[in-house]
Amino acid sequence: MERKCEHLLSYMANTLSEADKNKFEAHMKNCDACRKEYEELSKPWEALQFDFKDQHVPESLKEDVFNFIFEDQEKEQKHTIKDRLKARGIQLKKQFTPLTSGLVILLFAVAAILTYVNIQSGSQQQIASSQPAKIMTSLHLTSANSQMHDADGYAYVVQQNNTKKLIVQVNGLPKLEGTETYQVWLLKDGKRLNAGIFNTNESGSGVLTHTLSQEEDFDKIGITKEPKLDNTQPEGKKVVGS
Amino acid sequence: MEDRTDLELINLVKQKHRPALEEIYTRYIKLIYSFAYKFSHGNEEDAKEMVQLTFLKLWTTKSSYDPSQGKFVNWLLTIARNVCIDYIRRKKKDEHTSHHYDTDRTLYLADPKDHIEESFQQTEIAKAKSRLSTEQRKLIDLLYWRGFTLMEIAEMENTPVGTIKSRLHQSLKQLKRHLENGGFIDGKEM
Repeated sequence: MERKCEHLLSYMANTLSEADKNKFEAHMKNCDACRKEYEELSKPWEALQFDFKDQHVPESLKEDVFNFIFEDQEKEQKHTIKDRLKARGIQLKKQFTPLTSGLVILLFAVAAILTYVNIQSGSQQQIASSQPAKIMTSLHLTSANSQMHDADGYAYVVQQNNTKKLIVQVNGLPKLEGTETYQVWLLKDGKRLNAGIFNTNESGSGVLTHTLSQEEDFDKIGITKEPKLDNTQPEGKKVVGS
Repeated sequence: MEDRTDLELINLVKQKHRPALEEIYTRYIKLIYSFAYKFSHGNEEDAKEMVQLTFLKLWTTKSSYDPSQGKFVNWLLTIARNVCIDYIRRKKKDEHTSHHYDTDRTLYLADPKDHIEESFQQTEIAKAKSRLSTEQRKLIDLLYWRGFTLMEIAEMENTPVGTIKSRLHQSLKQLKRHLENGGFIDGKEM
């Protein structure tokens, strides 16, 4: 008996690795002894397939099986994409000799270190960027126009690290026409300051964010419908306000 | 679908024809479920999962059934066995890594004779098998139904792997003779 012939039983029991299985199949083609033994053993082996007792099949099994297969098909497709990417990765890997891949890794490492140094020295703010945002003020905005009593909204002043932001969110505003736009104004000591413009969606809702300087403060907030963009002082009617 | 042969059905399955797979299910579910049930040691959930995986395998397999190599039912159960063995090996591994592994290996060494005697409807194979020695039946069960490798069996039995191998060869040949004497060899009639 050759050494390879020893694998016959493991081959039948399917406990060989894929590579060993292929090797054994190739061997068996040229080995009369193995073929003969295989033929003899495969009969009792196949008879063993029936060494069980009949069981009652659960009613729900068919549904389980078919749901499983046809849901799994979708997953299978995702797998294929993953496999393809993996194959690409391997292909890419083959393009590099150990020397070139070493150099590429070195280059990446140098680039990473330089980037890191750059970020470190660039701004201290970024280091602390993980601080949570805090709402400093919140204002309820109500309709300031009898023709649009559905309009309302909220304004928040949010502080995160050294950044202060105004966030305005409104609902129920009428649709804009032509060059019209909604504009937010901050009222401080009787003066109006432009805090930006925004548009609304189909259902009349809109959001605006505006960065405030640290000292910047305001008494009231108002939103107007302006006939054109870039107004420094309000021209149109006030629609909502605090 | 009902008048199609198994070969026609499986070829349709390869072309992703779902009703053909459903017909195979109708024809063979009792067989496949009962087969998987034996691998699961009476755990219905495991048996159901093995059946699901077997049908998934039938749906996706690239290997095709060749009538010159044997009966369709043997091909079908060979696929089912591969799936079941993979399943129980994976489960054993999972249990091992999650520390629920029963280190008492004698658990796997239960005498299979009781199982056979419990059965009122002894099949031909069960009859032929009952004529083997306890030791022979145990080795066959460890290899066929428990999915252990020859190395694992040798370790459990504390016997050289070469000895295990030749005992199994002998046991299978003896089983074949008992089957022939009992007038049974080519598989249970469906």
